[in-house]
Amino acid sequence: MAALRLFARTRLSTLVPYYPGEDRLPSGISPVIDQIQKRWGTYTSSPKYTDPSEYTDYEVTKDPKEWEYVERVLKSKVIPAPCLENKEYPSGWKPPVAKPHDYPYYIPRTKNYMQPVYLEIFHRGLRRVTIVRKIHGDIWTLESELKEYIEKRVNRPIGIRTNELLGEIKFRGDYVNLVKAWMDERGF
Amino acid sequence: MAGKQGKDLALSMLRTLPRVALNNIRNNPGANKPSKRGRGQHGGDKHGAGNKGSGQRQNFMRTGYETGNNPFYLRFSYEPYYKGHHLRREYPPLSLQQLQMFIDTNRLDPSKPIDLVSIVNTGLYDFKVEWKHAGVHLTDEGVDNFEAKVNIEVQWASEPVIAAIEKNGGTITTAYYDIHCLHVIKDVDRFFTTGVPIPRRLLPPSDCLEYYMSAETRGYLANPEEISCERLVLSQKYGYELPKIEDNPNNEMLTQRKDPRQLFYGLEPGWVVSLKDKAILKPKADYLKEFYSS
Repeated sequence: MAALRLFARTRLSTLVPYYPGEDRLPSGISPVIDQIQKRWGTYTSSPKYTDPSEYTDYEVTKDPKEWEYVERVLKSKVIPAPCLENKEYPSGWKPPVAKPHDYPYYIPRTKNYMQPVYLEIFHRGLRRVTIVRKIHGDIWTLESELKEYIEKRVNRPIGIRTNELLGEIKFRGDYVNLVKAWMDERGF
Repeated sequence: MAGKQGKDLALSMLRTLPRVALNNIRNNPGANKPSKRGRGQHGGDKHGAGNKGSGQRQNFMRTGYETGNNPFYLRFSYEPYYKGHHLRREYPPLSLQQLQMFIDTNRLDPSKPIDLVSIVNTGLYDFKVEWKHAGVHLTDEGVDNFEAKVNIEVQWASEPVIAAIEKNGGTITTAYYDIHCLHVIKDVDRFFTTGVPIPRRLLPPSDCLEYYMSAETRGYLANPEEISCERLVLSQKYGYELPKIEDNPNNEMLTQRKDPRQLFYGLEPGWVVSLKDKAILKPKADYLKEFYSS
């Protein structure tokens, strides 16, 4: 690219301006280049396409029926809100029915209208941790109730870590389905 | 002075000690590394090279040589598991359970044909063209709970999946998209801002041409009459009564198909879409029309 610029310039004097009384540039000042750089790579600057008649002819349509097809393939700017009607959905998805003050605690849905329960697998698949996020209100009541619910079903004590500040609880082991079933019972 | 203890002693010592200044600072011990190694009595010994052997003489064996053993790198025969990996396509799975959930949560509209564009636009399908992802493999997980009636176009589908969709009165097509089209599909909004004409779809390569031409897999290049015959055969094999699409009020939507050269429903290859002007530019030249339609 540097070589291209060197060949593109017309005269050397256009590149380095003349300072009277000094035989060389003052140190610390880069030379001012007067010549406007010409881009050789673009297609508008190439000599072949300077004349618009060289372009292919086209017609412009603003048919709203055709534009519907364009809008159909564009990505939605917002996440579409689902029908929150309380009924049975074939996929097993349930809309949130609990209100914030029904229980001493509250778990809102995520932006995707799903329950904020996640499974984290690490140490090359040796460690599985269930994470419940976005817990509001009395996290300790929720922890004791969930602990009782899970331990009754798996029939062994489980490790729990509660972070009140972040509003999240981590269970040692994969209890995602159990936690989701418990949340479904309460309508979260 | 003698009576001072602890904090007081330390403070009184600090008062009498010299300040840290340029005239009394020096490097930490070991911070300066001499540029020459010492010889003889000036620290000259083995210099880390050890005593005797290839370490001292610096004549190391060639890499992998095990002093006469059968070397590890030659011990096992060649097993080219990843041969041609740069040409192989990958179809990330999408289960019928997920598809049903997308429809339940209003992410996909079953009243319109579902294709790769609409699935990618949900934002919930992991699709990376640079990882050789070539489209949707619809899997049979959640086949018992699938109730939607859809017109879906996927890239790979198994027989139970086809049966599950046709049992509900829907239709399924398997279609191939080449890499140029996949780059368009992965971000359609960005593509329309580039001012490039919509590309034409290329025909499938020889390794999957048979799949997309066969009526059993509902290929998009198969004969429609053979497909309707295969629909009946599959319903008898799986033991369900095939709902008639002709009687369906959504017949027009369910039978809508793309041209093998077409990328988007309703938009032809060669057209340029201007999102700013909300206009579509269509080329008039005959040679362009011929190119994009063939």
